[in-house]
Amino acid sequence: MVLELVPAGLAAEVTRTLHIPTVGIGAGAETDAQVLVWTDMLGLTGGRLPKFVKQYADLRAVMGNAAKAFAEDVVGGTFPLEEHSVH
Amino acid sequence: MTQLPAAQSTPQQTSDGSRALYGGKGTRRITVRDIAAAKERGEKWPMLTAYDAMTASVFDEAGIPVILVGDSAGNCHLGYETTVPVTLDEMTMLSAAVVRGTRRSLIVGDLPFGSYQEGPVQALRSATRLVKEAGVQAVKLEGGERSHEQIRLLVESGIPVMAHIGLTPPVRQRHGLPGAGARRGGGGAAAAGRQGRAGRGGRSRWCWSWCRPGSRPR
Repeated sequence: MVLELVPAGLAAEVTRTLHIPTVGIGAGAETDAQVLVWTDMLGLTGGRLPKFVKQYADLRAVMGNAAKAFAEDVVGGTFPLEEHSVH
Repeated sequence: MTQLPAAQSTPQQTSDGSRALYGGKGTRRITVRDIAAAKERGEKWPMLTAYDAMTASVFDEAGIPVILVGDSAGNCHLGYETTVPVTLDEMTMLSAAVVRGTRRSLIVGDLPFGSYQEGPVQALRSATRLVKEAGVQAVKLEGGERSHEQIRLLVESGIPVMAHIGLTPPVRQRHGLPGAGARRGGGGAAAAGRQGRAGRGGRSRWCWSWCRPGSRPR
């Protein structure tokens, strides 16, 4: 059972009481499992994230920079090169 | 943002010989029974959402034991402002993609808003689509106490159910709380507490959530 934004103490008590696994999001450290939305966890979402999210990567920057680099290569004529071409 | 060491996989063997949910070497798909056994061992486990095959395959290969195809797809994948417009057709398509992209992870498909509130029969019809057409191993729906009739019929029909209580997106919307700035407070905290108490009633008749066929509430 997912416990979303349930006070940590209450979530711990629920977890101890139930024989079924609990999955916390913003519910403290005592639940059996933790869930995060992947776009939040990997930094694709952008903007302010809820307090309970831990961001493990910055995919938004990685992807944006890559897209810009590709665009600049195309505009500047540095992609494709000979090595990317077939004859 | 947090800097992490390079990804590492640490195979774990449990004392009773069964495999750990995370880091185990097994390649067959994880079952609800495996999840129940992890609780017996006191083992914690991670769950991530995914909405497409390629992302799901990354998490599957990373050893994430449970992947949720959440109705958060509304905001995070489909471009809606909330989860409310997400349809069962959309959840079926996304869930099928995640199932196709994974080999080991247990896949939970979310029943979107409006696909189970009418009652147990509607819930069963919707959940059956996710199980038959998408191939998910379990479904999730919001509510504990208020969805207990739906949960009961699904479980009796052989579909494992993960319930969801607390300050869920619809609760936030009712209380006028922003989705991204989700926070505990005011009526929201009261709602969370009320539903948390509902969840604590695991010994009562209705809280069967994350139940598997054959399991009994205690």
